[in-house]
Amino acid sequence: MAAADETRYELLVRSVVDYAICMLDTEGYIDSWNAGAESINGYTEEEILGQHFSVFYTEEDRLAERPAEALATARHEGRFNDETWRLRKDGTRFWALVVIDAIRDSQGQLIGFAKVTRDISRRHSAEQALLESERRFRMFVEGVTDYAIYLLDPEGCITDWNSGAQRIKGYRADEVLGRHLSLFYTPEDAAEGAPERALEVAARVGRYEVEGWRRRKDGSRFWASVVVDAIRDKEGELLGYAKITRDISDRREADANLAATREQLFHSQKLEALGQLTGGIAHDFNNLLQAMIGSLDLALLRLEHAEPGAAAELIHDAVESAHSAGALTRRLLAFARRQPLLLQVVDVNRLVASMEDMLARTMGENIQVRFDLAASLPVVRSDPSQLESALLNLALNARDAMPQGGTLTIATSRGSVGASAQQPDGLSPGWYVRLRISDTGIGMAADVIARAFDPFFTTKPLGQGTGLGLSMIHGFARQSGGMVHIDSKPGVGSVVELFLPETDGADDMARGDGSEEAIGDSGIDAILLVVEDDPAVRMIVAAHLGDLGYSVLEASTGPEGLDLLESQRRIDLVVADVGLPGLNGRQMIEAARRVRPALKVLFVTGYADMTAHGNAGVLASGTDMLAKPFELGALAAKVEALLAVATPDDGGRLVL
Amino acid sequence: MKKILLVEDDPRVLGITSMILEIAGYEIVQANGAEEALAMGDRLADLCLVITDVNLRHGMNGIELARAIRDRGHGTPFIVVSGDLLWAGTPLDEGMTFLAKPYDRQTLLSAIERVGTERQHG
Repeated sequence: MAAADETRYELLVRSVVDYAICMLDTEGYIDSWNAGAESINGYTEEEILGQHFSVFYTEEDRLAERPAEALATARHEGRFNDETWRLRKDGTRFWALVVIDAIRDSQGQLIGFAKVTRDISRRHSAEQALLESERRFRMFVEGVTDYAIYLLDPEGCITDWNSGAQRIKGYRADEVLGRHLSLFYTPEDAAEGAPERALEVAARVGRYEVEGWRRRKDGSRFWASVVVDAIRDKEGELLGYAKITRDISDRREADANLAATREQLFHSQKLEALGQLTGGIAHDFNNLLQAMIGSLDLALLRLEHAEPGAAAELIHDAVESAHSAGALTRRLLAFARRQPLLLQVVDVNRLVASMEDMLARTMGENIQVRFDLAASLPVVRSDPSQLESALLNLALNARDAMPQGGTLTIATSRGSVGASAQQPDGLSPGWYVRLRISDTGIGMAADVIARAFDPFFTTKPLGQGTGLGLSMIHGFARQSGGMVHIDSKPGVGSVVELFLPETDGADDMARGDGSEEAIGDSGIDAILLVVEDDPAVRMIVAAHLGDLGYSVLEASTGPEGLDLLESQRRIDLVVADVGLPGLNGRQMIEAARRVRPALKVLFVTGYADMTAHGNAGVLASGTDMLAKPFELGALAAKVEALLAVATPDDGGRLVL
Repeated sequence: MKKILLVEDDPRVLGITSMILEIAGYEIVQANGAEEALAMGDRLADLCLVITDVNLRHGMNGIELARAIRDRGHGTPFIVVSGDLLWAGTPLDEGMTFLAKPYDRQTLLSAIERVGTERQHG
């Protein structure tokens, strides 16, 4: 190395401040010193040159002859490395990274040592703090006894075990380290792959939480709350799992006790409600029995006095009361869902109109009853007797809410429910018929409305109501695909709205309006009316058409036929004798077509001349003739042909 | 003629019971509830008996009605009738006889007779 270079090199070394760089002679005496050494160790060059480097060592290290050891190592191995405490001039310590290199001349002769020292106190204290924190954390984890905290390797084998784990599971660390976590699962869960599933979920989503049965060392089970966290390094590599298990058997037991208590409370409420219900039913039922017994007693008395007419009337009253009692049990059964709704096509306006008289009478003199029925209203599919009873029930509630009198308004209207529109809860979008019963009574507070549909909830005194009315109506509306809505203000009145979904009713008229006959399961879906005064002919025609699979209604006179035709029964075609006594067949059909304009008719006549008019030009569409005597095959062909004729309106529908 | 006030909210029961009693020779005053009964004022004066249902739809129940009538100074005996026992917690006062629904004609008539006899002897 040239002298100029050497000087430059020395300048460089001297100016380095981050490293204390000094040269030692073979004995360890300092013979050069740089700026870094001055700033790290605190000595100026003048102060330190010629001193032994052991002044930097702590007293313990000096007594232990560490300085000599360091030089010996450097001499023998070429280099000595250490990380240790060193002293500054002021006696303070710093954590030093020390490297001592042996320096030899070209002959290999040791000429001294180069010593580089770095103050790494800051890094050291950070490391120490981390170690301390880890140690404390470890102590904390290990000291936790309420939680079993343990670590698993990626395969699910235990690598770490705390005292809580020992306490809860009963295993000591040396018994479980290295074993698979399925050890703690019940055999059933383990066989089902629950442990693997837990790890799989934790690995996939980061965490898996579950409650379930776990097994202790002694085989006993406990209800555990388990959390498994996946542990990954910075690169995302799975290192293992941390598992925290708590024994929550006590909490579970407490929960179960609470549930049992609630159940008991509910049961006692149910009993109370049952008492209420039983009392209400007993009251109603005994009144009916009272009326029956009274009537029958009096009937007996009348018979003793040889007044059979009066007795018959009383017996009739008794029968009426018995029917009412039957209706009461039917309503109860319907409420108990033991009796399905008999869904039929119902014209709500017509049903309301049929109850007008009864409602007005029931309300009494102080209450004005108003009807506000929509001009035209689609039919709904519902159970008419249930709907009737719902309306009556709501009207009675309204009456009881107006002890000082008032106005009861029964209104019908049509409305749609949109998919996004503001709608009463639970209604699917579509068209509904709305039956609205409003009163000007005392109204209900919000808390009463909230409970109004609860079974057995009643504001009436014990025994004066079963508390089932609104609840039954609610159930009925739900079964019909609709709902009930209550709005009420104390002092203003209540509005109850019953929503029932519309139906086109086309397929249901046969079952509509209480018509009880079912359409035969022959697949031929048509109902025929045979009007014929000759019983033999009527029987043969009806039987033959019945054999062909049609449903057949029979009438023996014109008025009787007209009665059926003016009812809401579905009738697809009439087979009518022209020569009926009284009202003849033509007159009957003329009258019937006022309400059923498209009614299909097959006239049967014994008068040959009538068939002269039997051409299409004279007979209205949907009308045909058959001359007596006829073959049954011809009858069937004509019926089939007529039924096949398309009509703009369904001829069987009653037009109001 | 002996006059009986009959208070009953069920019109069927009211009607048939009235008939039974009328045939048995009593004069019957009908009321469908406490309010109507109390509105009768002086007509209550010459009653020999009040038969009332306990469970009246509106207002006070039959027992309360009986007390109200008595409070007005009418000393008639009462037969209280009921088809349920939901009011069983309410004790009957002296001079009140209980008759369970449903009762037959003979039971009703003997109850009335017994009340009358007790009254004469008591």
